[in-house]
Amino acid sequence: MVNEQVDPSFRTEAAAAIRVLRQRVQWKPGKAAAHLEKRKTMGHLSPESSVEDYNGVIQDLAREEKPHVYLYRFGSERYYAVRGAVSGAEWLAIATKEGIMETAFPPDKTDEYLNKRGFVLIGTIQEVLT
Amino acid sequence: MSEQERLLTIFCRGVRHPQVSGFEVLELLDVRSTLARGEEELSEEQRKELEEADGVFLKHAGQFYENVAQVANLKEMRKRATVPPSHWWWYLEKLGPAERVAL
Repeated sequence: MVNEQVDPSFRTEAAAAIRVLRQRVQWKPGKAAAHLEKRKTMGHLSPESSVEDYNGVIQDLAREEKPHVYLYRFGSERYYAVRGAVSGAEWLAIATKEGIMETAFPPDKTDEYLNKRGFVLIGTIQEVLT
Repeated sequence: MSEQERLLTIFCRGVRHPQVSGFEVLELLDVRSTLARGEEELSEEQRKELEEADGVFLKHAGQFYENVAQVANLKEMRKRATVPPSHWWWYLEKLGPAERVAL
């Protein structure tokens, strides 16, 4: 399912961001550790998980074809979110248009979360990349 | 574990992490609002836990606000989520100065 209202250039931008994630996961300075600690506290990742494990979850998501890709805009900034299943839970990985990680976590109610924030569906990863 | 208990656990744990993305802070605000809608179902002990978590939340309110402001307009988010005025946690910009946490 593709939202025709999304500017084609944003689709190209989303594809570029996903390709970056597939290659490497890069966080803003100091943010990987902070997010990892929260994932452990929340029980989203096991206590012995490393940043590499966390990044692995994100890359696994980005390397799939079926997860949905969403666009979120804030002023001139654009973020792309990949929504997919990880070990039975639905995760959301959000990155900047340059493919820099903002966060990755399993929202309590993903549909509600995305709707309330104004995320717009672009399509599946497969659709975005072709 | 009841639904309220589950949400309380999420909130109590979540407030301890002020350094995460504003996208996660918005999730935390959603969870607090859902908790509020079923607050009468909480036991006295759970209410006390919630009160303590609210205290931690308030302590980090400045940092939470800074993080949200980087990714969203809080006023717009309140409008989109039809947040009632009684849900004070959504008014981060009015809850206190930013607390700087050393990385």
